[in-house]
Amino acid sequence: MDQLTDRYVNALLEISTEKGTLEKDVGQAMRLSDMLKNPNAWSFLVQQHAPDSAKRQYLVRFFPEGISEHLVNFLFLAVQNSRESLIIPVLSEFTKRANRRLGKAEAIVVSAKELSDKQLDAIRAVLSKKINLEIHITPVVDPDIVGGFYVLMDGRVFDATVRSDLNAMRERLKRGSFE
Amino acid sequence: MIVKPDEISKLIKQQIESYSSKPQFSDAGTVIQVGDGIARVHGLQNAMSGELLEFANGTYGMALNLDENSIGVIIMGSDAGIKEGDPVKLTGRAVEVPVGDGMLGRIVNALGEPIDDKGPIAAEGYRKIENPAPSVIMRRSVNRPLQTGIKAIDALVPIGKGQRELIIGDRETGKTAIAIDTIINQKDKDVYCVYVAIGQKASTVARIIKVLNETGAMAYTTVVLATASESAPMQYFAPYSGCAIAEEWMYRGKDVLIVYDDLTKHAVSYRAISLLLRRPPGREAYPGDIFYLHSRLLERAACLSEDYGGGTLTALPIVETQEGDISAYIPTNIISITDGQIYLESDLFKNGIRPAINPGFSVSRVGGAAQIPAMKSIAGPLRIEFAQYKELAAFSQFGSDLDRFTLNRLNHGERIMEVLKQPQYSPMPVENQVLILYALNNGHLESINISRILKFQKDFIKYIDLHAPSIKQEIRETGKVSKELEKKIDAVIAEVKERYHYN
Repeated sequence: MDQLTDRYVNALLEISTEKGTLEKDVGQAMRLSDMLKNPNAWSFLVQQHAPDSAKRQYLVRFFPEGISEHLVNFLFLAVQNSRESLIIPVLSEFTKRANRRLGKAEAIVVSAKELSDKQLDAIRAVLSKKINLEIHITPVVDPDIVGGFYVLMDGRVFDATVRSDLNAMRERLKRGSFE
Repeated sequence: MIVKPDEISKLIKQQIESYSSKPQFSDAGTVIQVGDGIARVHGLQNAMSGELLEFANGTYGMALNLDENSIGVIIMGSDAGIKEGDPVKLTGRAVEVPVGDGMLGRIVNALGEPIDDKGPIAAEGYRKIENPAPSVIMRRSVNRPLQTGIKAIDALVPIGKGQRELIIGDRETGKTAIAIDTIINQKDKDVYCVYVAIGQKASTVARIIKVLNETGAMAYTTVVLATASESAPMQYFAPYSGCAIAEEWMYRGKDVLIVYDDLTKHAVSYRAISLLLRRPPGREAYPGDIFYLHSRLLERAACLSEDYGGGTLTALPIVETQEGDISAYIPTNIISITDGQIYLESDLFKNGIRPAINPGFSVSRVGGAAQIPAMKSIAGPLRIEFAQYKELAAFSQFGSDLDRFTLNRLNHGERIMEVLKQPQYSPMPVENQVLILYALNNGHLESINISRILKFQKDFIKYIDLHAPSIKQEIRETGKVSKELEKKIDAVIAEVKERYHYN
């Protein structure tokens, strides 16, 4: 992550913590970034010829009900400083770090076929125990992994797929008894 | 090591027994972009430069660009099957190739995987493709000759074991032919060879491999192949892989010859990679480190001192020029790195002078010290006489009325040109070369018609093989031509001229 994003995220986090609205802000930030990911909105925001006032008016239409004042101010500041391209990275990084402070973490579980709620609960329980955080799981199905599942979480992979076992076995056989 | 079927079964049995599906924990990033043999990966903040990364489908990549938000990875192999969002794992290893005597006679790709029909490779170990060059303490000066079997080279631009001699010239001037002749000439000389083909047509390489097989040279040769159809990263890896394979033998005390055919295409593939990785382009759009690309490769050629096994690695890089322009970017870079160059000219080639070596532009900076004494004493005057002939020949085009001295010089020069001609794939042992050049130097060929000189050489050598094999043996053993031997050779020449009616 580049330094500039880091600075904006730190500032936002500090304000939210001071005001005690961290949990509420996370929800709002997630909704905001989902809405801004709309390609039309995004291409309007990042274009250089539109005046700042137009962009501000445009943003106002997106605000969810009862949005925190400092989030509004952040968006306006980003427009004023011509840092529109940073809005989504800052919001997603803010969500990630705020969740961490609240004892929550995001994980993506990729499996060959759809997992039942029971299985997901079991995975959630194991992961929660391992990293001591409440885990929010996004399940994804990818038949390419043949069997098993892998978990992508916080820049680490927890790999229990048949595909990687097969790859490892192929590599070992290719190298013979050398290792 | 040969992989036996029961060993494989044993290995699989072990793995089935111990299969606990223990999940692996490792650092992972996600693919955000893939194409043209390059992938951009988000995350992996602990990746090292040059580290091997594993993609989800088992393909490997090498981290080259470590940026703030993402890393640039070159994919080793096909990028088919890698998609956006796939996890990419760190391995903590560097790129390695199999090495050892099991590589002899094999054709492998840039990753050391066999692409011939001889089954798996019996590797004795693995070696990183990027290795530091031997230090000054480990080296000694070049002191033994590497005979190419080509008269013009062994006499005028001699190559020593551990030297880096560039072969440079336009397309279709016989650059590869010289390298292949040199490989063929290493038969029974206990020199291992590695031929690295970079960005060449597969048909050309198939022809070369056929020649190597027919001449029996494949028995001591490894071919590392990255044809024009392979991705730029594979072409970029090929010379380093070949060098790692050769280096292993050098450190075991062997004499090794490696041919890089050719480094122009290597530079082009590296340019493609660099531009795709968005590195800033410099002159001719090559990246800033294009010099280092070749210098670190060629520095790995060395003549090791006895304390370090005494092995040698001789490198023959090949560079293609456009319209004979040796002052272009890549040629000047490589000329400055190497210990001399063999310059081939297309005009000479078209005039039937083959190998089309231009002795004026060709030099060998260290090879002279490695010539055998007999060759050294003969070759000394040859170069000067040749230069004088070139000058006179250009001058005498304008006048027909020439004095006898000039005529003699021209006459002699024409004979030098004729003697230095040599057909492809027929390298000549050094003692034969000494005998022929001796006859040339001492004026024995002046009385023979130019058109019969080629035949005389054959008759002369045949006669010595049949009637006076001791002459060749003495040259081979002592490396010198003594006064008594000179008399014997003179007598033989007179005899040959008499018998085959050359007078």
